[in-house]
Amino acid sequence: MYGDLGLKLVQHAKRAQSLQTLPPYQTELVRAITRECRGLQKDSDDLQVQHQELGRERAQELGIEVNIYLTGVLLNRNKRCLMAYHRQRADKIEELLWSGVDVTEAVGSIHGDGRNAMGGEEDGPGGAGKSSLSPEEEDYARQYNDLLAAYKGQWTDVDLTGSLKPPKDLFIDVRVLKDAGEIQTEYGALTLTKNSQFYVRQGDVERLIQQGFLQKLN
Amino acid sequence: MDDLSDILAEYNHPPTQRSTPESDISLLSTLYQTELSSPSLLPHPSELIERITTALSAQLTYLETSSDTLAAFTGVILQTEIERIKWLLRVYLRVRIAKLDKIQSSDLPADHQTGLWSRMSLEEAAYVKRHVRLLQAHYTRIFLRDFPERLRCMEEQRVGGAEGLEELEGDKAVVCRVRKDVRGLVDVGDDRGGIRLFEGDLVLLRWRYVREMCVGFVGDDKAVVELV
Repeated sequence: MYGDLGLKLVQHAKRAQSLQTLPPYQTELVRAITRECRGLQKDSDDLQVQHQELGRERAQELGIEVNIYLTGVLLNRNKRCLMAYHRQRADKIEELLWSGVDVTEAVGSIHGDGRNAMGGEEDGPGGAGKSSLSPEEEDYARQYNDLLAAYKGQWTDVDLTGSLKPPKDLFIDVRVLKDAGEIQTEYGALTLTKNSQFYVRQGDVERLIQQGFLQKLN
Repeated sequence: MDDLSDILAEYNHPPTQRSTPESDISLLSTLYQTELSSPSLLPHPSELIERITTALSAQLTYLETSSDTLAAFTGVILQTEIERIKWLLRVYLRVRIAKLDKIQSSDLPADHQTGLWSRMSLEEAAYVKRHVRLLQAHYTRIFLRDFPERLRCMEEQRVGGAEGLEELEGDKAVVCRVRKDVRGLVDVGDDRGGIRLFEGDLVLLRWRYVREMCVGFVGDDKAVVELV
């Protein structure tokens, strides 16, 4: 029935609200809905023509006016469903970008982890073809990232994407989860090799923690 | 004569109006709290932010240039404090961005009625405009272009327009702390003609009745309430 697909899409959006990551994009469903919309639009156009040919009274008798109204409502509803679904995803993408996750890469590594468990394949930013973002969304993520960079670039001393938890200690213990090479700090260079542990200034390693290279220890 | 007018100007501004770095920080944390719990976006305190960022970068420079002479412990204290101020600025700006992200698409066109734009900083306004454009382009690319002309806009006619939004916001309840006694009754929309507010009171009121006397909307010294 008309509108069923829209409902499904909204249910997907609702479910995704409580998830940490983005579920795969519903390409098929979105396509089906836009197809339905085009059909509705065609119906509506045909009805308009009939309406004009028959004249108002006759059209009313045949229920054509009601039909026109109904297709309009359905179109509007589908549009809202589509908007809700895509907005929810866009919000999620933005949220991920704010927290310093490279969206396209993060998606790749989620799939990568799964593959690693089975086949030990290299996880890469590609996650080729399996990305849960649609190509349009990847574009959006890139553009939003630019916007984000432009906005936060205006604050030289404050990193707006930093942690939102109030800082407690200037120095923290961290453990290295992945090799991250050498970093420069005020107190000299540190070589971060896997499984080593350091006592460093939080400000120096904030990014690395967000990117998952380091883990903060209590 | 110039000297004299300088002195006079100083005299005309009582020192209580003057801000110190300490009062700036405490004002910013009050504003942060209030922004967190207020339903509307509060006016952007450009001067305050300017003062704080200037002081912050001065402090950072000081720390850099004098790291040899400072006792290690003093350095740590300074850095800790700097980190805290940075954090405060960060969360404050982020709360505002989060609000901007929510209100945008459907409410912006009629903004001149609500003065929403005037409550943003230039950077924030630029951000919002670009963000709306991005979303619009995104939707258009995916599905809006398949729709007939009249359905292609992102906005829907909202009953009451942007004023409706203010109405909605005004209906929300906020917990506020009274900062100073108010003479007479304050209208809070009840049928007994209002209530009395005394310093230190905690009251739960509808936002529309306290908006005009809330810190952020009026100057720090005039504000009667702050939100908790």
